[in-house]
Amino acid sequence: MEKKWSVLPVLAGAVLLFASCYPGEVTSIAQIDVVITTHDDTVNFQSFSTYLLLDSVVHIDFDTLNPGVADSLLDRSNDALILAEVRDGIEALGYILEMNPETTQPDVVLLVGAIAVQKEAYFSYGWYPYYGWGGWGGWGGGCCYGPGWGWGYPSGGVGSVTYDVGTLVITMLDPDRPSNPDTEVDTAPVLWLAAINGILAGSGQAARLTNLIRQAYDQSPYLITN
Amino acid sequence: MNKRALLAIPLALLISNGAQAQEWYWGLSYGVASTTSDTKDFIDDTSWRNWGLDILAQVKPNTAVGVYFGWNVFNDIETGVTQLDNVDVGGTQFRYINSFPMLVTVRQFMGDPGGLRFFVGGGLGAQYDKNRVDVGQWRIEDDQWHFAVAPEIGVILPLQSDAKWFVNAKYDYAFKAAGRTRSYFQLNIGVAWQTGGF
Repeated sequence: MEKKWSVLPVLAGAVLLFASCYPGEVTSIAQIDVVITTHDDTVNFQSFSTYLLLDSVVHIDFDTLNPGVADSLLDRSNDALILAEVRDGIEALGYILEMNPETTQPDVVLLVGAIAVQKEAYFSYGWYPYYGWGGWGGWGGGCCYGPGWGWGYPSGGVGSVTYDVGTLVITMLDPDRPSNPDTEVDTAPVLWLAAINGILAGSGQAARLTNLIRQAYDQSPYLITN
Repeated sequence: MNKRALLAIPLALLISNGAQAQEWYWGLSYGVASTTSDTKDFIDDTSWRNWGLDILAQVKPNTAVGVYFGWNVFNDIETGVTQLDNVDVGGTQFRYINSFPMLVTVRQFMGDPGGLRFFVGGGLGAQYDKNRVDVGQWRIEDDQWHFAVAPEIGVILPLQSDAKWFVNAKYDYAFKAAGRTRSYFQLNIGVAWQTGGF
């Protein structure tokens, strides 16, 4: 008697088990954090030696249609930590805090701001076709079958989730350089900018902030001064 | 000889001889793949998500021509800094390639029909690749068609009268398009159904 083989179910099972267009997606909230840095590449940062750090984190209302959003989504529980990390990071690069900024102008000024926005994401679930009761009209059976068995869709739908996204912005300015005369708004020249973006949720925010601020400095080696 | 003519030859053989011979071979395969060259620079990881469908018609006692459809999924998680002009982006990057080769194939078999048979062959055709990078809350995605070739060697092992195991090693090479090539080695195992003397 010929032996029956059962390869097909195994193969089909393997396909189902491993079939995914985009495997290995995000497993922790920290994996969504991003640090973006940019700088004025005409500047020689080695010529600087002193800095001044403003002593508060400014909440910036980025969403002009919803003023006050930043204040409602952000708290100040991590402000001290943020400012300490910014200070430690810049000093590790060789900069010295200007102790008398009222009488001696520092070479660079650091500002720290925070932006928060609320976002909404949509997702679908359960939209797998099946063969079952089609019901009157609706999804099942097309337009003309009436009640009976036909192709239909199980209960499913589209859900939504809201989440808060925060961006910490560290800006390095040169108080000696003139503002851009071509712009109507009086803007200070930015030498270096770091934008730290992530979702405002989950535990371990302090550790995430610490790592991300350090990352901003680590990926900006051109800031090192003598 | 242009590319269209190269593609047309095995297809013409399949149509003119395959139908008359009525000896068909359908193979489903699963495999592992490892990237090379430009593809390795983008994703340096072994893929465990590779499937293929071979449909071949016997046109000579030891020769078959047909088509091959594949689906290869590559992914990698990279941490580090990417430089874009004067901007540095640090964070976890989720990189993906979904690669779909669609090839006209030729195989030359060695050994006696019904027994253990080695084969060499190759494919020629198109490859559609979907490339994606997710970083933070941003996604960069692009699609690209390539002209592709895929030489292969393999062996068919008898399972029962109308079914076989097969193992093959294949190198998929997609020629440069949009400034990049796509290439990977594959090692596949599969089952095949046949109607005749493969």
